[in-house]
Amino acid sequence: MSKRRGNRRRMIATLAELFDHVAPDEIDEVREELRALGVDPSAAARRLEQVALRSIRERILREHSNAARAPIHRRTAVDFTDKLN
Amino acid sequence: MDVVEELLRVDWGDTGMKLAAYAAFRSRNLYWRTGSDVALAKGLMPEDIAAQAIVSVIGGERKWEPERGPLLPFLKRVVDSLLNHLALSADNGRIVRLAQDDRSLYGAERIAFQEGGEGSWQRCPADFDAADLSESKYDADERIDRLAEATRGTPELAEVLNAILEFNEARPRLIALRIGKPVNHVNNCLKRLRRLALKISADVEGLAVSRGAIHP
Repeated sequence: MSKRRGNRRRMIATLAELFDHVAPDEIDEVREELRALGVDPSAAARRLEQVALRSIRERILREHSNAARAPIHRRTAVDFTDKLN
Repeated sequence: MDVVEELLRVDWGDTGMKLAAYAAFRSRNLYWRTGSDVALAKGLMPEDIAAQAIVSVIGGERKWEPERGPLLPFLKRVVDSLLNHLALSADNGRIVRLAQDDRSLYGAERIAFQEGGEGSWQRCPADFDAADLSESKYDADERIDRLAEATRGTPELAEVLNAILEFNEARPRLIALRIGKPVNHVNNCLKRLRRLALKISADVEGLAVSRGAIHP
């Protein structure tokens, strides 16, 4: 009995390890995973998209500002200010 | 190509959603003092962890180099790192043995599938005593039986589960060899088995309806 139980414990560990390798990656699975948590997938997508775009805007402004402050011979040709709109 | 240009090409809606789901998936493998998979520690949710990862990568705090690989896997590694730090944070308390009275939706799954001493859950090895036949281990036994029972009507799932149980094999590639099927088939079956295990846990806890049932 204890041997069987010991084997079962190993099986449980094996299942946990296998499940750990199958993260949801297709969009339907992703939506299902979020819904299971009580999260609206579309709302999450909108929120995270806004977070990302705001961060990109901040990065562009920062890089632009750094480029403007750099000595002329070290300035990069990058200008993304047109992307801000 | 410049990193900013690459970042501007990304579909952030899709990427964000995938990352939030990944954070939710990974957070289930960690202990949270809250006993919840939604509220982790410091009042953060999996979606917030995804947002933190996005901000730190776009901001350059975590440097992504496009020539070294695609963005999403990199973001996922950042999520792993953030979740590990959060789990080990003072706010989450020390990592302790999984609570046996855990009544969260996936608490039962954690107990059933992560209590083995040889598994990925090895943060506190001293807590896993092979001689300790606590009630949760009997529960775990029962959960494996329930999973086996639930796969009876689905031969492809039963085949994969039997191969796992019979050979105690934790590599999908080798399971595929054992049953003579492609690795993709095994991985798909594993995803369905996982959802089935979640559903069984949810049914046991009687919380499936309120939190959204998961179907195989």
